[in-house]
Amino acid sequence: MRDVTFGRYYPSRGPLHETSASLKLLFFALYIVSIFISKTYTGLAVCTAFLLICIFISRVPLGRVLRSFRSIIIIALVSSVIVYLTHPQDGALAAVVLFVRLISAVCVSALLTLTTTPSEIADGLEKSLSFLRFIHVPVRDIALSVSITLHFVPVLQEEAEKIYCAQKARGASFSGSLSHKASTVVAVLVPLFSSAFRRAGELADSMESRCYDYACERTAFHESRFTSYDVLAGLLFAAYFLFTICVRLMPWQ
Amino acid sequence: MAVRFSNVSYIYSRGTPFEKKALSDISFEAEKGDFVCICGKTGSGKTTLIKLVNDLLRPFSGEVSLDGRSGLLFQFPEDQLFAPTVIEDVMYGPLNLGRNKDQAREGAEKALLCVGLGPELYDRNPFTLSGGQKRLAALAGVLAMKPSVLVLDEPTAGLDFRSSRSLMALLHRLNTDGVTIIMVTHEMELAQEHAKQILVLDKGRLVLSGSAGDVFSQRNRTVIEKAGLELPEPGSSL
Repeated sequence: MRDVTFGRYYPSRGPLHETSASLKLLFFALYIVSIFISKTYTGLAVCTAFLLICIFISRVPLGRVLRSFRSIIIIALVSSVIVYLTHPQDGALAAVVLFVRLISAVCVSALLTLTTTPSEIADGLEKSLSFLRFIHVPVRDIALSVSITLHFVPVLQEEAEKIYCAQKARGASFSGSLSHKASTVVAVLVPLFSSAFRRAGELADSMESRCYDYACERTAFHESRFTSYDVLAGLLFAAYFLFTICVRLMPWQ
Repeated sequence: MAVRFSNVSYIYSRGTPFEKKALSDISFEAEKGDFVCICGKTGSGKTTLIKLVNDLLRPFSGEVSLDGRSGLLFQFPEDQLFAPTVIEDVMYGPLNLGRNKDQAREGAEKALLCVGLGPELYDRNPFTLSGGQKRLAALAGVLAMKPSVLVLDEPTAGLDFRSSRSLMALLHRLNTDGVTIIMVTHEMELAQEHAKQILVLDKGRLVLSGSAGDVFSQRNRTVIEKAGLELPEPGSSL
């Protein structure tokens, strides 16, 4: 249980780490669009090249990035083979397209979580989606809930371990009959839920006693600003995206 | 000899950048019927040590030997209650040990009687008990397994004076009945009043051991203060 690194953030100081989270989220979404726009070998080559460049400059060890598609590689290979065998016309192209899209998508999300902390992602989401406020979506409160959730993941993880230890000392374990395992799950989850609800109540009281007001305009302790770095990143990405569109509209094979 | 630690060391997260040596070269012995208090400040390795008694952790080096069955009560044990009724929660331990329902029920009722919780509470939801009652119910859950060695991590934490006194009296009674007790505490007055043997931990090392008279003498003042503790007030007792 202990070794799940939530978000898989890899601390470093590379160009990807320095870019604003909201921009990264936008680039992430647009990159996914770009790999679906590309349908030719050339197009995919452009997308892959861009991804490889990003990985290369990210200052994250290659092993970490590769590990991200460990779980999906089998599915990707199997699906590609099936497509190759069953596609009526150009099976090879279809297979390659599918494979590259799958792997790239997983890779780029790994890059996102490796270079952005969960709190940065939450803040970035809030910024990017703040336009939804105009149709009365409570973006700020959703973002606050997401941040609090992220903050409490390690806390509850530790609590779960502690409860599991206590129950193990009373004979609980995850080996043995199915009913024994089931009772162990109950013996850990019930106290954990109870504790989580209690914490939620305490946190709510503590926020209220510090005058948290649901309707207030809030400022942040860390204001994230757009730097010239972000402008540069934006220009580079825009160039890439436009190039992808060009390749799509003018297919030269 | 109920519990023996021989040159035990424990390292957390070995091989990662977060490696931490929690215990270094710990050796001590507790006879059957002993009452051992382990004192130390946060981070001194107390919790690691008691997890080693119970086999929740295996030592990195050295050996832990335990004669009989150990029961372990963690800090704030009221967090571990989960069953729909008090009696079912207390029966959880004995059932896991292989007893049948009747034996488990009998053991549970005895344990609840021992801690002073009466039959009117058997069918109550444990979450409706008071904090002190929850703690006693959790203790009953451990006692129902009839351990010969009872290991407790700060059992009086968060209790008012009266409840603390009555819990210690209960532990004293169990000890007189032959249960070996190993108790972690940072309240030196408790150790002074109840312990037959005291172990002082400082950053994972055993710096003092012996009877209360030996350990809490003025000549050990510097060692005790370096360990983040204070000598108990003379004449005060809980």
